[in-house]
Amino acid sequence: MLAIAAFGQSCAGSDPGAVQYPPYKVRAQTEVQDGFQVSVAVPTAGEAAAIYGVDLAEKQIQPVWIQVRNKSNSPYWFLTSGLDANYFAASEAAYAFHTASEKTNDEIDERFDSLQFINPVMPGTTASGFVLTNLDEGVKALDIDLISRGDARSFTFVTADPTFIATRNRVNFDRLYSPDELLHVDDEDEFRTLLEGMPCCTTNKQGTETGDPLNLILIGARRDIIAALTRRQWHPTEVLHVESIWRTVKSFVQGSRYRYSPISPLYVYGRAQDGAAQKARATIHERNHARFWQSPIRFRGQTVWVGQISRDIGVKYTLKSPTISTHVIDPDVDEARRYMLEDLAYSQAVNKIGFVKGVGEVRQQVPRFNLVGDPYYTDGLRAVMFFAPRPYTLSDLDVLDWEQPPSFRRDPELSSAGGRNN
Amino acid sequence: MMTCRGIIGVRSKTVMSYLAAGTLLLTAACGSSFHRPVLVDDGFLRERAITKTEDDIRVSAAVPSAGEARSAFGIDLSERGIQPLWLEIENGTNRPFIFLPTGLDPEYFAPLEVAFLYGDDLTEEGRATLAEHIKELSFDSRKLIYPGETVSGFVYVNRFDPSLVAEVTLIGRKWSDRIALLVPVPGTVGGQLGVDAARQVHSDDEFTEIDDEATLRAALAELACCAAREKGSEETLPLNLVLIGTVAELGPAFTSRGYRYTPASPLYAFGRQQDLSGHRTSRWVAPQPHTLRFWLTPLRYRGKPIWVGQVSSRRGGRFAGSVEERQRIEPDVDEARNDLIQDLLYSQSIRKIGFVTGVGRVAANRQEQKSDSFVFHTDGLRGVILFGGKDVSLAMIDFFDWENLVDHYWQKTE
Repeated sequence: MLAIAAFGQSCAGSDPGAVQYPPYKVRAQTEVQDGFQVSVAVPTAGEAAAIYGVDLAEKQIQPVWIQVRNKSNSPYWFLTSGLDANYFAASEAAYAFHTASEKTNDEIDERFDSLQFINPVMPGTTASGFVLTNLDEGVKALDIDLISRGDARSFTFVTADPTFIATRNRVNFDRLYSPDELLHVDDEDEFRTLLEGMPCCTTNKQGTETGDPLNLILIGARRDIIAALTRRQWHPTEVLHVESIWRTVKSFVQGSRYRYSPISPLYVYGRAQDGAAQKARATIHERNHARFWQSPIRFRGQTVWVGQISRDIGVKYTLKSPTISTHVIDPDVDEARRYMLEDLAYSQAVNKIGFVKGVGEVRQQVPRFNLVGDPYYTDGLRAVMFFAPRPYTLSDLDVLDWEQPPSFRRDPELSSAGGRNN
Repeated sequence: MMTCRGIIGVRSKTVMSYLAAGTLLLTAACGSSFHRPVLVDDGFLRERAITKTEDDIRVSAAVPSAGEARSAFGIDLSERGIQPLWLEIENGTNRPFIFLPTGLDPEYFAPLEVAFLYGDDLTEEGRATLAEHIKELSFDSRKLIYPGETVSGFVYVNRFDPSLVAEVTLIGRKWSDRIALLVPVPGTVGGQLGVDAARQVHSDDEFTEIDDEATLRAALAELACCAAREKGSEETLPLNLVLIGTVAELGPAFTSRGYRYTPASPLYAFGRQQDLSGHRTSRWVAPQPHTLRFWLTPLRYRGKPIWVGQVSSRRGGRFAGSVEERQRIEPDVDEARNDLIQDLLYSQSIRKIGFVTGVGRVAANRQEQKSDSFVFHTDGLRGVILFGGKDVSLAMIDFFDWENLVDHYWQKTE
């Protein structure tokens, strides 16, 4: 306990000011769609404190700067709920910093009011200002929806906090493969064969032992995938970092829910995951963990990712993982795969799904074991998901004519009137 | 209580007990066996079930009482806030589809998750028996339901509502459908007052049917301006929102955005306190602090009931401190109204929105605001939302050509 506590403290004591980065408006990202130009930037905690004169991060509030140029002929409204359904009204956030002095409070109210983004964006004008959202650490996905009568425009951005520890060690996705290492494929059957030939499982660092089955294939831009995950409250993490190890220990001891928990490294292509995402359920002891690796395959120009998902149903302590704690997984790994498919179908960013052969069937009676000794069983397939910019509704979802899980087979007993009787 | 499994494995006891610094005790021998109940006939559920057939799909749903659930499952699901819901789906279409439990409750429990939650005190064998038993009783949501097939079983949602608004979402290739049912929950007579009493406020012959938009606009503008803190009191808040739709249409739209039926302090309009009230819930962060109160009016628009409501927040919202402080209302009442309307646009079930004249414009008065808890300022409009759409994207939402929010907006900020 002591050793870890000291580790955590030394980390908290490090100076975030040591990181050099350009001011937030210089970091702004811009997207242009016919007649509209949308820019966004997320100030760091320090920048936010300088802008607002109070420490917003302390109250778990994160301002997002938005600028909308409307060159159309109609007024457009920015929908704050699409960015964060539980955003803070300026008056509400200002109240958090009220003091005993009426005069100070009036000044705070005034400042928060004057900084906020004001709807609507009238034709031919540019509007800018801040929206106050709940704090996301590290990576933040931003959905900007503009609506008018009979029209809607959607913009998606992914921003990274330059002071956040995880992002300092970010994977450089442009340099993972040299051009001659990439496998370009356009034909669907050929693509399917390539996917079937991908590694079956994760391995240990040396590549000498196999672990959890690789049961996900994601096709699409990193931005669309991260945005889809965040929209469904999955929390992306790009590397393991010591600060979150400490918080995991704390949340374990306190029984509280910490949104960001370290994900131990597993190996594919000889390297630890390029990215990971987690979605907690009722407590830290139960959460879905997914790890992703960029593959060298490019299907019709789109990046292809291979992944592994499992649902944790408990925490145990092991010396086989650098995080010390690791999770006991639900042996029915196909349930986590099904959950992710269903959940991301609601993200509006998936337009095609299907299944392809993977590790092969592992029966419940004869389970296999992952690297830390947890049993699993599966129908052996990998779920395949195609990502695209929003918005796609459930009715738009197409299905690949590839493999079908056993549960998709017709059950003759269910066709008689009355159905199954429980 | 001592546990055998769950938060820790038993593999590294020394490391673990060191870390937990005495917060947990480990037991050497642990666990009891699970006595598997005999599978009961689901006849009692069928008898009680609410059934709806739409687009050639029949959906039946029923909720067992806590006692019935205990005897069927052999465990007390209510102890963990789990609500079992029995469903039967008959596919009369010519396409195969899958049922998505997320549509019922994004935080639903998978069958094995339920088993894990109750496995702590069981032996290894007991856990396996429990898991098998729950799987047997459950609706197989991985199954592709073919034309002509009928599938039934339990799904597990969070226990929130006195009456369960069950929205069954089905998805096939480039196709989806949603069918909503209002399912009574046995043993929640008190709680049911919320939804059921509201339905009985007016008898069928008291309703005025409206068919055209002009009449609707006039009728909505005529409704009482305000709700009062007490009967006849001068402390009032504007009735700033109108909902048009059945409970089965409104319920899933609100649920999908995190709103739940929850009691709220009374406000009075039409000589009675609100028929329905609600707040937002949220897993991760503190939810937006709006309070919703609705009254059923004796009006119907094209067969759909019309509700008028009051939406507001307490001053300071999530940061309000003392009880006295919490009774003050955020003076800018339009903020809560606009938050709610734009949020519901994401429910994909709104067909049309618009604004009618309500209480009329009230300008801000900072001095009064500081002294009085019920002082407000507003553009004076009443938002109107017509429900009943399915899969309505943001670009597809229609607008009533009535008051123009933009005009009022500029007027207010002058």
